[in-house]
Amino acid sequence: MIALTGNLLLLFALLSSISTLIFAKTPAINVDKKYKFTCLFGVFQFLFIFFSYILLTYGFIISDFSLITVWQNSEIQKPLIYKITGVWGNHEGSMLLWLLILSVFLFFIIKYDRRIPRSVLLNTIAVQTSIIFAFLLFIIFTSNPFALQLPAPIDGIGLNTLLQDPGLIIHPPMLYVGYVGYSVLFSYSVAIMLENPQTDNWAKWVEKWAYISWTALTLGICIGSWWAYYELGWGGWWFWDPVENASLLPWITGTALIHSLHNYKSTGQHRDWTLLLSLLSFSFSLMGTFLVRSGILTSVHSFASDPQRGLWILIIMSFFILFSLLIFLRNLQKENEKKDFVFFSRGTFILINNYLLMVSVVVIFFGMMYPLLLEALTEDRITVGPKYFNIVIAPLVIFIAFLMPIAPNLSWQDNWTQYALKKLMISFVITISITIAIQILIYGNAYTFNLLLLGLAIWIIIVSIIDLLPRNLSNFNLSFSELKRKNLPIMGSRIVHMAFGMMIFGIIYASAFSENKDLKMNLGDKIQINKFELQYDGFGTHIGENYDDLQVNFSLMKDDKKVADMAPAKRFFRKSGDITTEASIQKYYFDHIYITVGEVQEQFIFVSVSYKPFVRFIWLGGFLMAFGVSFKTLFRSKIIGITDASAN
Amino acid sequence: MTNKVKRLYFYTTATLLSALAVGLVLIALEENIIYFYSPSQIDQSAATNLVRVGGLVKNGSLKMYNDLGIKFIIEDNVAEVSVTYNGILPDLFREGQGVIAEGKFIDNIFVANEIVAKHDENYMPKEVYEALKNK
Repeated sequence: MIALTGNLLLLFALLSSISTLIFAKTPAINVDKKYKFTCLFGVFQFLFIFFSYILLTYGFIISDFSLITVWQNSEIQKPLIYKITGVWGNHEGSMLLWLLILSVFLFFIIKYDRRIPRSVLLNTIAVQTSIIFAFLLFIIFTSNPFALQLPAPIDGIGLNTLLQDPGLIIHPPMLYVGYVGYSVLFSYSVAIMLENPQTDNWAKWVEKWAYISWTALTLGICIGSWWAYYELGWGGWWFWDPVENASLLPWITGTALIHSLHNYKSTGQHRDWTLLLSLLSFSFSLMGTFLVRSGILTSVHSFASDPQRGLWILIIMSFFILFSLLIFLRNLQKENEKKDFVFFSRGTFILINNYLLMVSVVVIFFGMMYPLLLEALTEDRITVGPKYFNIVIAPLVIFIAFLMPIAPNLSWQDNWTQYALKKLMISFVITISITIAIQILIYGNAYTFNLLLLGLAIWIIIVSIIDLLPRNLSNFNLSFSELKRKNLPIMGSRIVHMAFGMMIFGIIYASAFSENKDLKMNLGDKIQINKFELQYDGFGTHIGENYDDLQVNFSLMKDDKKVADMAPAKRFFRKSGDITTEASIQKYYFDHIYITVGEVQEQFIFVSVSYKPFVRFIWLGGFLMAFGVSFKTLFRSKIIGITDASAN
Repeated sequence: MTNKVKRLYFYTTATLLSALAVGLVLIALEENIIYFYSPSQIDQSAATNLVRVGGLVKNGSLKMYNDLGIKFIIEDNVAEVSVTYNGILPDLFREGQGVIAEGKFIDNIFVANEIVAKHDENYMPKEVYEALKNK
């Protein structure tokens, strides 16, 4: 039953998208009717896809093993939450989720963007629908989640045990919302290029989508990094793995896009470049999906995969990229060259920001694709080591971090203002003092290079905070409304900049000053790690819903006082017999003590203990970045009101 | 200076910097690529750089010796490579299954500093799959 209904729903969704396209693009129909029916069928697409997704989830919950997807990726014994999230723990289900998010965004466009001129809106809906159409075909023909097998087996094979983790509940959907969010920007950009509306308001229409996608992508990447850190037991937060890089590329172009939109909105410059950035962001999103789904690159994310599907996504990807580039090239507009060129202006600095970000994209893309290129040419098989990425990215980050706090203090057209110069000077002195204090008080022997990077991170944080302080500190009786008027418009961006500073600080600090010990311990043994002492107290078992844990107990002590109990474990899944490592992480202010166990014997254990100072800043910074942009999105109408009122 | 000249300076600088970046990238790449070999392809005396060796973990070859030391053999039905590794093995490391080790040859023994982990027990690294297929 489920299989039949599911297939029908997908078919109806397909028919709805065809109807949407027909109504949106047939010139003979009058505009009102056109708009009404296009929206109607757009909503139908969403509803049919939504119900098919619910239906698949239901299939997972009741363990209907006549569905091949359910049989391959679920089992009766699995906890309910992993039955629900397991829907996207496999290829078919995750592609259906991708499709669902595409259609949810279509629904949002229809519901929330009514005020945008009809002609642009209809084209946007048409482009978005054609993306949905392509993925619907892909799902129906190569990855149908409702494929049937009879008779139904008694029990399923089960979900990959590494995926049975809370991190999986939100990592893929968040990442997908980010990836797919750029489809909206893509659709709008194509529509704008086709229609070429004479107003420059379009930057305001698409801005919120750029924020939403960026927020989701940031959260998705952060949660993924956090998941790798604690669940996979590797203790690292970024590996420059091809699939990680693939998610970083749209993030970087998305960052460039937000800045470029801001520039275009304020100065009307670089229209084409801004449009190109939205096209690029979605192209990289498609590429990310293609890389994960095709298994073409060797990556820790590679799952057993079918090359046939990779080919399909490659075709979809090439089609949309070529199609949009063609429209882009046909609609290039002459740049307004009359404006004065002032080097120390915000516009120029945003241009530099975009330049540096694009260089990062190119070097990461190159490092990622070089193995494929070399293999095609010489049959040599290589991997590009993480060191390459660190070496090429570090100088770019140095430039970015140095310029980042300066740019928002410049005005759009004039040179420096006295006030901004003074503020930056003071911040610079504070930064230098703190950096020197760190060097003298904490590490007498820190490498100059690390210190430089730490200093830059502090520089970003300090300037961002000072930007938000009242202009005249001695006269502190500023009214709340006064502070709100000044701070609300810049609050979001300063939070994001500061959070980026925190992240850089965490990355540099944790990389430079972490300590790790791999060793063998007997019962009662104590080891010293940094200022902590760790004692091995023996092991016990813990019985979970579909697994048994072999827990190894430690006491963490500092200055002979017990700080915490820690219990890393080996997790044995009853059905599959799989073993996973469960790390134990104890936080101590911004630091982590991180333990994983290897071999556990009656007499001894193998254990890996790490001390990671300030590592929490990495994710804290990431989440704060997402928060800052959400802040900007949520208070957008207010902010626009304030800036319009105070425009001088 | 006119605007045109200013812009020209700006974009010329950007181009020169890009060229510099390309140079640095190529140098960084040259020094940080890691070649992959199957046991039968490798010339042990020549491979003193960091390399990756991939194949199957030979059945019955896994031995633990003092402390965290581990020894095993990677094979591809033609040749074998003895590997030593100091540290904790990934959970999906099994005898008879695919593996990739990263490290250097020291006195004809491959000293691994990393055993590359994977997400999925059914997944065979592409390099290993093709290395075995060609034998």
